[in-house]
Amino acid sequence: MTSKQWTSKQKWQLLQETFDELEPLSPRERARALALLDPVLAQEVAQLLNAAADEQQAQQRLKRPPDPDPPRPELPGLRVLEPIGSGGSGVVYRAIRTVEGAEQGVAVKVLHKAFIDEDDLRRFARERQMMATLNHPGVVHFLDAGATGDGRPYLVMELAEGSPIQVYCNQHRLRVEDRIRLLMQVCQAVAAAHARLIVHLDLKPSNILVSETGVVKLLDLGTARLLNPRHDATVTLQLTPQYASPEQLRSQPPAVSSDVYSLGVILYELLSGGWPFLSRDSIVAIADRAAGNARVRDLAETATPEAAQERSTTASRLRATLEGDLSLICQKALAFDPAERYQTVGELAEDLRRHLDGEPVLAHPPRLAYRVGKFAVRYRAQLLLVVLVVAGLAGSAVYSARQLGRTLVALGQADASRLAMAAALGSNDVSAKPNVTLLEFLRQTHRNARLYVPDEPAIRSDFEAALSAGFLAQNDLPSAGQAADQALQFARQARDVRREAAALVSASSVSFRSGRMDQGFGEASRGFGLWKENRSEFTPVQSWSLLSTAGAMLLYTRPFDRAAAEVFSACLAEAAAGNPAAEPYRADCLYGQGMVALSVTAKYSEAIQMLREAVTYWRARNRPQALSRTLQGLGLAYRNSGLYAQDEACQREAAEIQTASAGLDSLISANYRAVWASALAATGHADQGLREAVNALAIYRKIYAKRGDPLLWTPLSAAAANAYALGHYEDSIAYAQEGLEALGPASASRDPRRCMANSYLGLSLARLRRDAEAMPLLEQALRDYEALHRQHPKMDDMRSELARLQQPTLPPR
Amino acid sequence: MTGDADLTLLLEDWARGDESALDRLTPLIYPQLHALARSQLRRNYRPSTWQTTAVVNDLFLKLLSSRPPRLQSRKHFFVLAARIIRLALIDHYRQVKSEKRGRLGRVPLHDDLTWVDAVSEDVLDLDRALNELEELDQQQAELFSMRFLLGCSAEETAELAGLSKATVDRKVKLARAWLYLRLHEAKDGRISNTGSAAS
Repeated sequence: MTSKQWTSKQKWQLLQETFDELEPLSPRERARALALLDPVLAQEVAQLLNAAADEQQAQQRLKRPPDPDPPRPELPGLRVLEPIGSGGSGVVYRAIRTVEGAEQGVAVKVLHKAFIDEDDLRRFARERQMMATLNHPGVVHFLDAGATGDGRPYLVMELAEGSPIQVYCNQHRLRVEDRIRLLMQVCQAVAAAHARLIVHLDLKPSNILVSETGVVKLLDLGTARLLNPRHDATVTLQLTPQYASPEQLRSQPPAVSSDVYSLGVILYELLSGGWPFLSRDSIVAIADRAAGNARVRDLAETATPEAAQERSTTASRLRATLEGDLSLICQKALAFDPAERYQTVGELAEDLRRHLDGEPVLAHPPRLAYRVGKFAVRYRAQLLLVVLVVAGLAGSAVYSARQLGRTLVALGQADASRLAMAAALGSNDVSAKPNVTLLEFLRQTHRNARLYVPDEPAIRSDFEAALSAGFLAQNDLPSAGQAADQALQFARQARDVRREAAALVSASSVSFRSGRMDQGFGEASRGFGLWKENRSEFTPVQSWSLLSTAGAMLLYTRPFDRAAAEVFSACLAEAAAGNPAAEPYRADCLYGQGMVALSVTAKYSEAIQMLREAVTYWRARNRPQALSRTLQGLGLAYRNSGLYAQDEACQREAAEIQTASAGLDSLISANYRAVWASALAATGHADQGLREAVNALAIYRKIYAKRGDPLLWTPLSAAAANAYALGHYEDSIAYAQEGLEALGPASASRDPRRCMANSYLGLSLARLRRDAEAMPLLEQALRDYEALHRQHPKMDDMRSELARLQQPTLPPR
Repeated sequence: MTGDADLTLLLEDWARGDESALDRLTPLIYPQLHALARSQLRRNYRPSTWQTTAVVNDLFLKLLSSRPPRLQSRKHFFVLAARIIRLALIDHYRQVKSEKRGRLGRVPLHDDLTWVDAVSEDVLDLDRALNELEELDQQQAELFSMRFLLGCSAEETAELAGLSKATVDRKVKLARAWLYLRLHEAKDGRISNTGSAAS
């Protein structure tokens, strides 16, 4: 029979059950039971039962025999004796060395030939060099080095006599205090290595020998690396997972505190005889430790009666000794987070001394706030990420996520900002329907901020800033405003001008979006002011980031104010052309300057030049959001120069980009389509233009339902222009009037938007022969356009209508 | 860097239940793992046992450096690790075979599974047999893999799988017997094939 017959799962189940029942039985009982079964099943079960027995025999038979000794190497000037140990990288032999007639016992470490590659050779050379510089009684002395006949490198060193530390302690039944003193000796030797910028990174009992006279020797600094960054800092994975620190297990840069951790494990074992974690060698145990899922067991709990004997005491006394200070010291040395451990081996030794001398130790039980803080520090980045991803998913109307990402890069939150950038790159616009779940999540996070975020003003400020961006993207303006406010307050508490400036600028974007233009303008100006006063404190990236955003905010909140120009110029001066890191900011500023030239100084050819440069940059970088924004500006510059076809092409491309990324019914694509619609009115496609404008207006109204909201201006003006072009004068008047309402009485009299509304209002009124109302409007509009040096697609209409109106009415003869 | 980022994302996809992520994941981790596995075997002057722990530790170093496994996906993580080890074993065997280097003797897969030689055709047979076992009882194959490929103790395996230790022992016992049988059938098949080719 073959096992191919076992195809059905049910049958397998039956087999398992029968096998389980029969397996514990004696052969006779089995035979009896098998006879009662279905013959096919019986045969299969019998076969498996036999296989189980055979398997056990094979298992015993093939148990591996003891390892024979490897051949001993021939080395000049050395008589190699028996092997005394083998590590990851080589075999250590006892040998006799003859120097000037005198014989000396030494240890020789020979590296495996097959093992050698470039890294190994480098490590070997390093070991050799480091050992030569380290001359401490607690560390084995380096004597010589060379290569075997077949090219295997070897090291000759002082022969350390003794037993591994835990063996020594148990053999001598050392009491707890003596064990502590011995470990303090180890600490001294390790500290001596640290003082020479050598980290051991493979501390374990078998690397710590104790001589019969109780002197400690540290072996195998082979994995140590020089802390000095000027030296080769690469570390190859040569560690003993049981004793390695979590950060070593995660291949993160180890440091002095990694040795503290390993010493903590050794200390724990020496004291209680138990293992600090539930499980020791397995993959699961090690992975859990690496991930911070393993809890350090209470020291006293792990002490056994045998351990008490080995420590010349009773179980209950041992337990009492281990409770309290010693337990806390172990906890501190074994903290998952390196920042919570003793920062140096000396500190660990000092706390052990304090314990022996009856002084209060520095290790203390974690306070609640401390634990919460720890949690928050660990999860801060993740939280920020979540918030930022949320922000990125939605927001680009004010490019908050991207800017925030950059700000965070500037502040060193590299991880958070990387994701934020990624999110922002694929970002969509605030959709007409906010995502309730995400919004709710943000609100909860905000409410529980104290749980997540340690009570450090700087961190809380970052956190609030990130949340503010998230709320902003979700269109929850009040919450965004609150968070921005808090970010600012915390930044001030932290007395951190850089954060304060950044917080002001992000507050400004909230104000802008909430329609509080003056406030937003003020905040961005103050942010810029802080930068001017403290510019030396900002790194270039921080400056670029802050300035490009502040400039944008000034521009957005007062589109016809010159203030932004100074900020953009400052940023362009800081971000020299040709520096790749500065380029995105440069492009942002070119955009900003272009917009200033477009809207403020009316230097359209300058605007076209700068915006074209920015368009080229973003197109090459494949950044659709920035590209479409810049195209829109470029189109408007063309429009004001009277180049309507170019305008229409730019606006069409920009609108298509936004529609593709955000969908037809999003606010951002509505905005772009509305601007495109105005261009359509000037190029003879008013049918299409009016449809686009009306659709855009409907989308706007879903979000900005309030009549008179300034943001409604864009679709209203497009609708007015197209309605006029189609001859729907009544409609055009209604749109233009609502547009003027949206601008509000506060807008400047020569605000080009007001001029535009006036022009269509005047034109439509004139066509309806409401001459008395039309005349002053048209007169005003023509004067304004002249003053603005701006073209108007219906300039001829205005002139002819005005000419008609100004004609003296001839009395009938 | 891109590789590591992909790795993290795929691990998460996989933990979330996207089975196809595993297929995309394996080639990403595999080259490093294979290198590690090889160096483990070379490092030991005379490999006396397959250094599962060492290999798997290195695997974890790799995986953990990108993202520690979340609690709910721990089991997935370990199942994945076992799967990768299986691939590494096969690949290592093929490599050794193609290099035609002299063998230094048997390399038991695990101290408690000495009859599987980790550097012989056994690994191919074992892989095939485990595939069959997966068809019959996925869980049984997983338990076996955790015990003997990852080197977990019965207690750890039980904890990971959310079963009692007695259940794990029971299931593993049958799996061992069955796999032993399958490997012997495969060996016998090879011997008779060689015989017929020679005649």
